[in-house]
Amino acid sequence: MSGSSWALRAARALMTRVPPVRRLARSLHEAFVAERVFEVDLPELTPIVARRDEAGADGPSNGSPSNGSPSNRGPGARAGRRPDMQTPPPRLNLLLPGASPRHVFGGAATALALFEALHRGEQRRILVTDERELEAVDPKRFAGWEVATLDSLQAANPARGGAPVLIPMADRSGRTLPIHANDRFMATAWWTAHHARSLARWQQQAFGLPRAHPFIYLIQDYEPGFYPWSARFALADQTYGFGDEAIAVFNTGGLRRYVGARHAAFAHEFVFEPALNAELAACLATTTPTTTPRQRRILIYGRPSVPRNAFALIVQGLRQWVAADPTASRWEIVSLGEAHPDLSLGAPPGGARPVMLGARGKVGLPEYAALMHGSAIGIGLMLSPHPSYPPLEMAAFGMRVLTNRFEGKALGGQHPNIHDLPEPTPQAIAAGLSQLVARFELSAGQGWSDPAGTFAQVRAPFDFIAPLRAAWLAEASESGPESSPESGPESSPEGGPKNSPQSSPGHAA
Amino acid sequence: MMRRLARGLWRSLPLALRTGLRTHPVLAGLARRVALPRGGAGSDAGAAAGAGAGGGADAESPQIEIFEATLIQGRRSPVTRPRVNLLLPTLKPEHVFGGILTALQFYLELIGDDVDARIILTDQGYRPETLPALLAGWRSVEPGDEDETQGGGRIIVPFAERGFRTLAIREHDVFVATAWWTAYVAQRVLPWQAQTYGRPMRAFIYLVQDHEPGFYPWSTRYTLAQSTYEFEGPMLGVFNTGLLRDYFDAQGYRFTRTWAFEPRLNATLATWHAGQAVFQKRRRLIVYGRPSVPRNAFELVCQGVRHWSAIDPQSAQWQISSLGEAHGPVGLHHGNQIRSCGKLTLEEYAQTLAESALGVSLMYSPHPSYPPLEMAEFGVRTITNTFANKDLSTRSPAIVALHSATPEAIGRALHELAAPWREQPVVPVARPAKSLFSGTGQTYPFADEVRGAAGLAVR
Repeated sequence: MSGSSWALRAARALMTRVPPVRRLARSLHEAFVAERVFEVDLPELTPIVARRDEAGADGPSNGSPSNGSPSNRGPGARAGRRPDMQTPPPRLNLLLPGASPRHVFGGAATALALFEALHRGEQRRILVTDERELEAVDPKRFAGWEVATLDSLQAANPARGGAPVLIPMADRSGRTLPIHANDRFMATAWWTAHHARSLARWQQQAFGLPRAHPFIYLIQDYEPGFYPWSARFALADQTYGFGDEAIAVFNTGGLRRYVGARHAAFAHEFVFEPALNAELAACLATTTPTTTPRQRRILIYGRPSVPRNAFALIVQGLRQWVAADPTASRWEIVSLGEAHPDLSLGAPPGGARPVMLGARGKVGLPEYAALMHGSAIGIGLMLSPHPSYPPLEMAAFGMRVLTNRFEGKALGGQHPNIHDLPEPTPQAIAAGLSQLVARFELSAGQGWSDPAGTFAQVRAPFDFIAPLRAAWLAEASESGPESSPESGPESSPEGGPKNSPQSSPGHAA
Repeated sequence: MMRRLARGLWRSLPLALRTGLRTHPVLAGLARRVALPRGGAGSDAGAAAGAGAGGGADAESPQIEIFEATLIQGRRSPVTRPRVNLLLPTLKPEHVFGGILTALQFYLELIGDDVDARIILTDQGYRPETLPALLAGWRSVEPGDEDETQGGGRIIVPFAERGFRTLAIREHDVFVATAWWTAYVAQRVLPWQAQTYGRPMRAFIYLVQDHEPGFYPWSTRYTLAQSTYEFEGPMLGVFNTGLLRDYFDAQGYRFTRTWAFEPRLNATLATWHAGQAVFQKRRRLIVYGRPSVPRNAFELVCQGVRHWSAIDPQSAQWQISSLGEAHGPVGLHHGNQIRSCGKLTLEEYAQTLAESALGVSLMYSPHPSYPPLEMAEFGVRTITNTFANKDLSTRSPAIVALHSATPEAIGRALHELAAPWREQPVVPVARPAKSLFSGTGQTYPFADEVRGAAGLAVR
């Protein structure tokens, strides 16, 4: 018997007779061959465990806002409560999934803008829930901010001065976040709403508040729609039922109606409408439409990584149009929004060369404005009750725009340049495009579209800051008036010309 | 490689120890890093983070084709006899259960003893090696075969690879669609058929067994699936349950005429059920655990049971079983775990239903789904979720339907429902006085009405 086969026999004997070895062998086999790992924890819902922040007065007494997984200790932090303790001034906490520059645009930028507008000199913290560490800190946006970790907060519990802090905390298992009796929370993405509610509930228990401080929930899309019907769908949907524990701020009245039709109302509800980006508005004001003749160019909002922008649907619609229209090769077709390889759309009837979809990726605002000024037609789909900006922007810049309706959303009513398709199938997109192309050829670029309209009027984005602040910072206890230091450095633009504040506890009309 | 090795080592630890580590305040972070595959659920969350923080702007070519919705090109057929065509994704044996089986049963009921009949497999490119017993005597043919070359009869055409091939379409072919993409394809064959033979568009029959756009995030497939419910031609809807039909009505979808059929209790289960007036229920919790089916919200089920195991030390005395799909054990508090039983035989399933005290079965869809009904039928106190117009608690006092099925809510409900078993290990539970299932008789009593509405000869 050779040595190697003897070793094999010995190994086999070990594997079958010694339970730990057998287990090791089997699990290695599973890890490499028959992998069947069922991870039932949703990482974004990892609880944020709080501890009392009393400027070093108490030892750390942990408690847990039991959130999703009850793996942490139950809320047992009432022991060290000292009711006579003075309430500290409010501290504003924004819960944001990401704060590195590549995350801060669109929705996250809007959240930061609202957070800034709400600020009147209070201490501020941004709890970056889904980043372990920041890749970089935008020096313009976060001038004067410090980056802290849960550990550095924990080590000394420093009574920080006014310096606002960014706290990346994706790696929060086993760590705690100091919370005091007057911390206020503002949530953004759905899972941050679960965290904010748990923190506010923990805070109420830990400090014996008569009721939990309501948190602001900035709702910028109906987020269950980002998932198939599933656990995440269900958990996201639950957040719209948080009712009087939250103050909702909706990005557009359409979204508010959509959510309101499915859930009970929040304690307070505020709404803002999209406005044209200030830099784009400046570009629009300085260029008169006649100076740049529109070219036979189609701009599409092409973001393959964002399912609700339905990139495949746009491309299929373009292909059908190219296949049917012999003049398609006279048109330049440009995809904006995200880098992807150029794509062939096939050859038009009688043509030899394929029409290409050229991808420009994310372009700067001046280039974007110039492209919109010089293009005839745009396509931007958004499978959501939120309008999304590109169709509105392209319409404001005098392009004719194809977009989709969605469960009650109909942008066609907002601007005559917008053509909304009830069912954006490839056939419908191709047919809509053929019509617009024919109209462009007929008009020869004259009187092509209607003027910019109300969307392009520059206005203050949030005209409800005063009532929102009042609702957010209202004292939970019966003692003392609202303590909010006046004369913060930022002065928020209040009382904008448009948009009446819609703060009513009832459902949207 | 290193990650897999680490995960293998990790999983070699006893489950109790792993659960202990995973829930340990200090070590949990380490455990998570080892146990979680990179690019798993975590990156999923990252993509949704920051209200659409752009994904990687890499050079990978984006996915554009919706392969399953590749259109069918028709070709003329000289045959004038009418024929009912079933558009079915596949007949692979491992898929012939649930929805596909129901589709076959309905179709066979619909065609009765028609001589000509054709099943078009939209997602299967080769002839089925074995046919289900239901289809004994059917022949497999190639799509290129001329209609009638080998005589008519009942045929099966695998037609997944159809990019450059055509299919013979008769003037009097009538189509029955099942999954959304089969309807999408049918809705584009019908105008061709109408034009080619110079006649008005034929009605087609759409067997709807769920609201299928809900299987996707808001996306291209979501839209295309939804568009099939908005077809402008004549469309006859046959719905799996009146509940689902009500949901479709509320969405304002466009069907010319609709019918609905109700779930039947499986015959084997019914026999078992009839044999017992009282069930001896022991401390056993069953959950409908299908990790591969998102709308059964497997993570949420597990989180809910885990919450119960945290707040109720008595839960350690319970046997907790997951039915439906094989998966690894899920660790709980107090040393307990959810053990997967995989797919049981019907006898085993009946036995399990009969002896189990509690059940959890979630379904995020306006379809009732069978397990919660079956559980309640066997006296299992069952936790499920509401959804739009669905509230199963109205059908049985044994069902608790949670409006907001958070892990905490599921855990609390389990804690309450477990109360009778706190003192005694076995509690007798009487068989429900009224069945949750529709009675005996025909499942599709409306089959002839559907034939008539589709312009076919009524028997």
